[in-house]
Amino acid sequence: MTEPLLSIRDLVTEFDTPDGVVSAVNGVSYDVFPGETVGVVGESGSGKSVTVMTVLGLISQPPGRIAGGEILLEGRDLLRSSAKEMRKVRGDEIAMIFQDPMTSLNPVLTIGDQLSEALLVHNGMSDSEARKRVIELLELVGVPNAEQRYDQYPHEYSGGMRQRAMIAMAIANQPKVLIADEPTTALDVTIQAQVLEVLESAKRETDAGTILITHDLGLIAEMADRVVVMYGGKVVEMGTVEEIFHAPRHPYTLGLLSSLPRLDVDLERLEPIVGSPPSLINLPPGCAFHPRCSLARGRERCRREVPDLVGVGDGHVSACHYTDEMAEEIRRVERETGAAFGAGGVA
Amino acid sequence: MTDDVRQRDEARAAAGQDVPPAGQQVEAPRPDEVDATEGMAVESRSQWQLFRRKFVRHKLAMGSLLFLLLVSFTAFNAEWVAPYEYDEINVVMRSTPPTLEQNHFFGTDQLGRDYFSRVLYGTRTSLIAAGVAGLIAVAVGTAVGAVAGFYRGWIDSLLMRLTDLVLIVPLLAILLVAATFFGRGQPVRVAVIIGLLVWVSLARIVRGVFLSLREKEFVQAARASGATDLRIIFRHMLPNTVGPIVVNLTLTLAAVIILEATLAFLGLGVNPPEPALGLLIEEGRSAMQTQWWLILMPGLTLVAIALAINFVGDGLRDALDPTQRES
Repeated sequence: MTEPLLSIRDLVTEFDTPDGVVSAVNGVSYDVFPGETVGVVGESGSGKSVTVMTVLGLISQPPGRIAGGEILLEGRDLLRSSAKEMRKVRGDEIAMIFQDPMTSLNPVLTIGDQLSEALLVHNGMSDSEARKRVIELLELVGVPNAEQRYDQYPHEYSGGMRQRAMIAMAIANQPKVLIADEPTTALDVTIQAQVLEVLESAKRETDAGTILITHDLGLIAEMADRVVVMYGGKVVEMGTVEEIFHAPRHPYTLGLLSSLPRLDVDLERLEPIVGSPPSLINLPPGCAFHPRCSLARGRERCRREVPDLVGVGDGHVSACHYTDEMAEEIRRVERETGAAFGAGGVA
Repeated sequence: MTDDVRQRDEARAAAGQDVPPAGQQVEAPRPDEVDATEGMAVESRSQWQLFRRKFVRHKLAMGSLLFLLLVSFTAFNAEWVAPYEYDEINVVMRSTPPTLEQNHFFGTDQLGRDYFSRVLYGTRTSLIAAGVAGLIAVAVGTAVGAVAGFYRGWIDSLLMRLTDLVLIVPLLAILLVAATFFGRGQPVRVAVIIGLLVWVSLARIVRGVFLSLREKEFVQAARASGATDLRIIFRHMLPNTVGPIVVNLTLTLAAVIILEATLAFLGLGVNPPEPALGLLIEEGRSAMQTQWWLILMPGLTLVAIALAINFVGDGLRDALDPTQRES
């Protein structure tokens, strides 16, 4: 197996708040291999974004605190890198596409100025070289009249165009790792499809390992190779996109899948996950998901013991005490909702 | 053809409009024939152009700006514009009320010195003082506010306690002491001292803007593309702060002019017979009943300048506020 490009190991990120310590990320580990897309899903507040912000060194400390773990970029620990080294990593080796293109572009600078920033900062390009490269990039992401558009301001761009510009900005230096934090959430559906295409071609262009953060399972199914499911600051399940969608081995993943309408699976009704996401200040003891879990059924072990991530197949891991009961649970959900998860339960 | 279509056509015909012949479809361009790039070449209109347009349409602000330009131009060319030297004594024309005769537009004082010339030279002193003090206030205020707002933490607390300190000391008392020791007969030095005391409001405003800007996504994005702190401050945050700074600067300038006049009124700043607006007002005060023009002319000039600066500030604020509609 090839070496991972980016390896997050047992990462713990906490925030000090007046109400107590918020453990936003609580022992998260996952790898990104060259050229693959890792989809990270989970409810709001599950620690998806904080994890990648920590990777980029963008957590402001205080109130944030990185309490443990390692982030290895090709073997180098980013958490032990100096601020100066991190600045070289950001925008050059790891680049990020932000969620809201309306607010992630500086209103008083032209698009061209902003896109050439990473080029000027990292490559020491001259202004005219940077201009040429930025116009190439704008053409690559499908901005028409790139030459003129270079000198325009963000308010003269539509939402979709701005997100294209953001993607162009992120791939300017051919990053090794591309992080897309809900890249389509702020866009309407037709534009979403276009932007995804651009994202795909940008990925092909750079062959970057990509982390795609979203709560849109459709997006994951379309783009991701592997999926990381996060809950309450922890990874609860990780596997290939087929495994996650057809044979989930964690009740939370199953809950996510059966609470969403899908085009490929015929559902008679949707089954929501009961309750709301846990408070990160005061996580439930034992398995953080147990108060909402359909599998726990009040069992003592779920309330007492924090489940470890255990292998349930080649590279497929799940953090549940009763993964072996998942086949039965999937059949129950299939019976009740009329869903067919394709694999006919867990093989 | 349905009834309502016929009715519509009849109505149009009555209104003298062209009616497509009945039954003939108006041909719509097929989608693939429409040039896809049409309408995409947007005429670029930058923030700056928008701002200029709005400002030029703000009549009061534009008028005030022109007035200020005129006043500054004449004051700084007083040697050529003024009909007399500021200390030229003409005993024959003592205490003359404003008259066109011999160009004594503002009259003369008890020594027969031309008051228009004296006000003109005095205005120059005031404007220089305002400029120097304003420059210092902007430089210090922006620097302190930016550093405090950007870095937060202990440095923010330190700088803000410092501004609080400057804010709570009685301005006039400090100014009097400082001007007596360092600024006797030196209007520029007095201006420097004023500048070093009035930057506080600007520092607070800049700090506030920076505190909100640093949480903006575009600042995060700049950081994520590897920009240094200095680059973020100067390229991303300061340009977004220009509006509040400029608006506050105009208000500060108006206040500084009044403050400088106050000090001159109290006898600090220039050495008589060199004129300053405040000094002229003080001289006129003693003869308010009999020679009204001696206090009115410099007083009006002072008020007009301070008002005009405030109006320009208003106009700038409106023009820089993108949510403000053009009126």
